[in-house]
Amino acid sequence: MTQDLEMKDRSTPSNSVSSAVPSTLQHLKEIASLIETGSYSKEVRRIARAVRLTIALRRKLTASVISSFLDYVLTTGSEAHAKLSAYIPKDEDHEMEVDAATSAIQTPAKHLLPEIEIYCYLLVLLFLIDQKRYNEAKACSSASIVLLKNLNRRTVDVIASRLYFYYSYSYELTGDLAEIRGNLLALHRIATLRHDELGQETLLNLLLRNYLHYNLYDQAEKLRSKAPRFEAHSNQQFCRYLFYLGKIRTIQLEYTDAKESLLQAARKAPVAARGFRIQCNKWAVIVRLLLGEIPERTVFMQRGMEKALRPYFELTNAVRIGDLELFRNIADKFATTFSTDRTHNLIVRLRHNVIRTGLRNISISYSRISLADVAKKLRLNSANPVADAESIVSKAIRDGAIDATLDHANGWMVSKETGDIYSTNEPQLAFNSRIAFCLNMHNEAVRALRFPPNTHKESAEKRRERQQQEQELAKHIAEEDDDEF
Amino acid sequence: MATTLVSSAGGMLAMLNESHLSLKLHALSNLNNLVDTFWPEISTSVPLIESLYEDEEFDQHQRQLAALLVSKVFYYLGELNDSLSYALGAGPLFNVSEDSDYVHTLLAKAIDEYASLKTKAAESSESVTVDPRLEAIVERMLDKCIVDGKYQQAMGTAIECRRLDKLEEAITRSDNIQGTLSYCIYVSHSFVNLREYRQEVLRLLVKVYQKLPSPDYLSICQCLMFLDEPEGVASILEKLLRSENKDDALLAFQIAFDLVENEHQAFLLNVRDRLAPPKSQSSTSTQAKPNDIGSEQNATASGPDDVQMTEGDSASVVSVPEDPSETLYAERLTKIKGILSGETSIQLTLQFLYSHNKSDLLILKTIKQSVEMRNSVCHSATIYANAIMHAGTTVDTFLRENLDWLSRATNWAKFSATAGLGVIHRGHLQQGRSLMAPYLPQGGTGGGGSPYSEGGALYALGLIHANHGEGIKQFLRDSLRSTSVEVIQHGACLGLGLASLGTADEDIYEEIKNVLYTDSAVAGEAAGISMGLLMVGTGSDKANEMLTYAHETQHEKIIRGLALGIALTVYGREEEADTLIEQMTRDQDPILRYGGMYALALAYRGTANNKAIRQLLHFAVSDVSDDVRRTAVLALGFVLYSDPEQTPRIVSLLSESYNPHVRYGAALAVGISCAGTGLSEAISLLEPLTSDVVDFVRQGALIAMAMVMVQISEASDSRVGTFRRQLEKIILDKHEDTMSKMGAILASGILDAGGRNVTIRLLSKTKHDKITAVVGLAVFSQFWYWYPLIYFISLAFSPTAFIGLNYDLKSPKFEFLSHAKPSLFEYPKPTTVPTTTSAVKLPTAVLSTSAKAKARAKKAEEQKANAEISSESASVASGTGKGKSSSEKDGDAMQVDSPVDKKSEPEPSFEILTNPARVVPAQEKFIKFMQDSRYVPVKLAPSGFVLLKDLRPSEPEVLSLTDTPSSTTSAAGGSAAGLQSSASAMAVDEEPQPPQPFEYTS
Repeated sequence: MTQDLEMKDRSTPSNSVSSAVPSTLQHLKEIASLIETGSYSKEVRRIARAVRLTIALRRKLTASVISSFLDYVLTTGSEAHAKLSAYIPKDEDHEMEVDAATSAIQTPAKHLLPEIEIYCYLLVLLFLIDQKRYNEAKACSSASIVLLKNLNRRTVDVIASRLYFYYSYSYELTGDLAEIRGNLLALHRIATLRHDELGQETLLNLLLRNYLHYNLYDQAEKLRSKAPRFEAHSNQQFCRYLFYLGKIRTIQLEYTDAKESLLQAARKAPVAARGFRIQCNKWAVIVRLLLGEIPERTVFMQRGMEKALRPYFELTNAVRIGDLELFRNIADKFATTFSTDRTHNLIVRLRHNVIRTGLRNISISYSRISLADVAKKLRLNSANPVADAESIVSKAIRDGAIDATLDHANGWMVSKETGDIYSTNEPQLAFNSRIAFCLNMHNEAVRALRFPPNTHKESAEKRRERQQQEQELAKHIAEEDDDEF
Repeated sequence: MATTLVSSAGGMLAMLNESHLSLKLHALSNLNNLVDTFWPEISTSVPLIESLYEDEEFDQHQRQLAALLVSKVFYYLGELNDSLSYALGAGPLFNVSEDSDYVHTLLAKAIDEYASLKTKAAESSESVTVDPRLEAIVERMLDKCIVDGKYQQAMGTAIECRRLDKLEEAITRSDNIQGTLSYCIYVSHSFVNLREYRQEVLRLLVKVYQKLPSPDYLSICQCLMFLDEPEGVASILEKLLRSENKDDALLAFQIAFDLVENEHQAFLLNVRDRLAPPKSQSSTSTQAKPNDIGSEQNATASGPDDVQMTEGDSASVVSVPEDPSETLYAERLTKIKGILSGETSIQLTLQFLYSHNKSDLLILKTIKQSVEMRNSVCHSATIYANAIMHAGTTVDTFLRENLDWLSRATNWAKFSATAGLGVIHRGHLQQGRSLMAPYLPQGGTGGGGSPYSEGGALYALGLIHANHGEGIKQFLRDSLRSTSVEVIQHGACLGLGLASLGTADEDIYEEIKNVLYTDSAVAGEAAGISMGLLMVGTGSDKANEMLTYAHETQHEKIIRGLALGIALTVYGREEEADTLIEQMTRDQDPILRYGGMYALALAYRGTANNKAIRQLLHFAVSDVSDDVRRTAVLALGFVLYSDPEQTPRIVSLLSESYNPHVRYGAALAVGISCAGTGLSEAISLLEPLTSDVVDFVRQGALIAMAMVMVQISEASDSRVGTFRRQLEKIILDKHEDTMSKMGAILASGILDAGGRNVTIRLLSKTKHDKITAVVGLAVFSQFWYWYPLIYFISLAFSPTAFIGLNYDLKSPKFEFLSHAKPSLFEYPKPTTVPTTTSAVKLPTAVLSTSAKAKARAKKAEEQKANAEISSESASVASGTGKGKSSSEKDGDAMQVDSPVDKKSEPEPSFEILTNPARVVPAQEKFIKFMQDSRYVPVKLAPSGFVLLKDLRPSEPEVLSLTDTPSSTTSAAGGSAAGLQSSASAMAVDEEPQPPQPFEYTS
């Protein structure tokens, strides 16, 4: 459950090839100037880029780099500086020359931007979490949240949403998630009032996660349905939302919707977010099994996921064959995996599906079969297998899982002719849904494109060209006129 | 009650269903504490809690608790309306002073709600019942603001909520009443959209002002003027004039000048008439005083003698009262009447424009030479350009030098050529008649004068006396009455309309109406416009009369004239005009719809009213007639001129329309609303349009660009230089279309308008609309149909001058600082001689004359420079500094002697200006007054007329600006002296006698 959290933070494996000599500090300074311009020109885009760049630098952060960066951007005597430096250990002194170099060029920051201050908090928090100093991280994040509550600037939103995330993460790591639920709700409210949609998204996800952590599915669903809706801003947050939504719906037995959400989440997630995609796939597989579908083999053979999805693969296999015995064995064998994945209760629900799949196989293979044989094939080892089989078959017929009739007198199950699926509308519908998906994707991609302003207008150069052409034409005509005389 | 221990509110919710009351109460109070965390859960049970609130069995407290809970849940759900209504139901439990987001949000909501209710109540005039609880909350908030010293918030909210009582309280209780009052005036002008309500607010402000121990009379009078209450202004002025203190008199003069700047003629006349005459005057003067207008009119009517006579007349009225204080008063009264009638300011402006004239005749020469002889459009365009370039300077050198060339103008071209003299001599009140005398219709003698030049002369008289036509009205009326030639009627109607702008004189109206009813197309068009001019801003019933006739007549010209006239009558009436606008915009006739666009534009001028903008944009894209669409876009410029930054944004899409008419309208809209601002976005928008594929769009864009760039120097925006070169190129280009060529010629006229000492300004410094300027531009934009209307643009010109005046209304020598590089605001460099040689393609004959002219120009310039230097040294020696600032003079002299020297000097970062000085609008923020100066301005205004307080009255005063265009002959000072025109005024005395007034030979 914890891997998926980090889905985009792992996105950039640190390339140790490029030596850190051009200095992480230099990069940080560039980022700081990026934030500054972003805040002055009110362009959130720049700040979002700054945050992305920071994540790329994450592996290279060291105590000395951060402390010299803090010295650079914050006034040394200031309150923020004192607070933040307290979190940074001062014991490493092997990068003295960096320190010296920076102190030389240090310019007294006359006016500290709130964006920069918040950014410093984020940096320190990242560092603390990476150093596994969770209690300090908790303190640091709480301090930053207090600061954020009183700050109403749209340019801070991007950094703030990251801070919310790590705030929740640091509490989750120490197992105190319940403590901050009230706080998160309050923050969510504030974000709604300030029309900070990115913050709302992030906080809603954090709240859902918080509820789901304690299996409070009902409350999660109520919050989700009551919270204001809007167009998604961040793809990552939207993925997470879909994932939580899928989970809630699975628990509430809305499998079709759940499948849609989970598959969409898996598809939308960035390639690098392997852990998250594995989780999505696990849940998607179970939901599809519960729906009576058999996932394709390729699902389990995706690169980097074979091992993690192995138990589910075998589970699917059992369901596909409809072998109850095998199913039971597998469920026992991987019991620990399933319980850490918190899918165990769903697997219990699956047993029913295994039986049904088996039944379907039987009904396809045999046009007429006795109930005793059915019981034997399904390996129903109960006291009265035939009666069991009869009830199971009748229920399956009523649910529409198989197309057959029961001959109670003779104890037979008579299957009807199975039609050719290609003669129905089914392929057309499937095809249609795929086309719709592609078109939708295309439209979204087009909408996400950014065009430089005024490209549709004629540039000065083109205009000059056109005018020149016109002049030449005019001259030409004039000359022709002259020729006529 | 540790909330963390509970993981669900389900239990409490279940308890609500219990039958026992105390259980329910317990559940409610617990839920109220838990709601922050468990609102998603509680929200499902809202109907249940609502029923508890309505339950009669419950006691008051419990029901209120239920209401509070429901309110909070609704707040979390984002349903602020429901939340507010339940919060009101919660009564005292809803704690206003609680510091939580919930309370803050709901309070904001409550104020919004209250404001919208009050506005609705005021607008629909039916009684909307406002929840008393809501009112109580809002009042509590207002009181809290006032107690906390947040007066601006309190005032803003009070205005929004239409609580004038609270507004008054906020103002009177604030610690800086003057500051809050001026803030309040600003707010009421910029944020109160409804005219009537704004008047209410202003009336209140005046009331508060008057209660103050030391009232700010300048502001009061501005308010009173907006309210159209001349009595109040008159009594204030009188009080100030009667004061012993000289400073009070200065203040009164300053007020008068500020009022005059707003160009509200009818109001000013009213004020003037209400000023009480001195008590102990001799009987003759008491009689003469109150009937000032009458006497003047009589004087003019009595004979064809000079208008100056009447001026002298009114000045000489001051007789010899015995009481010294009355003498003082009488003396001051004369002065202030002079100011209020506009004569003083017009005269001073004229002096300024004359003495500072820096127009560049070489530009005109280039135009003249490059324009083909046969092309009458460009020929008259050149004449227009000349008139605009010299507007108000009285310098008609160019015309006098090119009499032959000028005589090519025939028929209507001759009409406008003659009318052009009116623009050049604009404001030359005393000499106007005698200047135009040769062209005026000679009563009875039946002289050979062409009706075109006679009509033009009458129009010219109107232009000279625009908005100050007391002296000339009678003459124009007589001329109108005594002629039946439609061309002369045309000119007389226009002239009369201009001269009696906005006076709503019934007699004149009837006379013009008679002309209209002759149903002659030419005269009728002018009559229609003229009626509008006469009735401008009165919103009178006459509009309906005009509309009826517009439906009756067959002549398009008359309909168009009337349509514009109707539009003019509703000037500034905002909502009052809505019925008429509706009527016009729904008309079958596109010309009347077109008038409807103008009516929208003028009724909502400068208000940036959203409704008007929406309507105009709708017509701009949906009307079937191109004319209407063009005008609709153009009208946006008028609606938005108070907020010029908005216009380019709003019309940017329209400027890319496929329809050239819409593009043209967009160009002019930008030109009108951004006139004189040099706004970068406006220029960027117009730039591509100046090379549009359609010729008339190019024309519009060039003119608009010139309007935007007027008085912007190349140093502050390099695109000005590019534009000048572009204009020159278009004018010289043989293949260019006539339309755009005409645009370029007019543009070069506007760019260098008024000897470069004027800008186009639609708002006065106190943010009032300058009615003459707006009307001028509105009629100007009609030049699409009728070229002579181009001259109306001169109404929009306002001189960019700082003119400091002492108690005697003379400008003393006074220096102040412009804290910016001089090059930023200097005059454009005179075009150099080589530009003329670039016109190589011209026939040789022309070349030789130009060469000669060149030589002459050079020689003249040198002579003049020498003369100037000598005269300067003489004047310095004698201790009487003449008009120009010494630094400027140095620069000029140096340029003649050795231009290289000047370049090597590093540019100073400031400049010392000498009263009166040219201060362009962009420069205003750099103006500083010196600390140790002898004079202190009464009002710290960086430009315009400013009264100066003399701190050392005992010392002899040194006056500047002694030269005036005193007589016809000297003003007409022709010959080469004006050619290079740098400080031509200096050399006036040395000039040879000019030729006699000319007449057309044709």
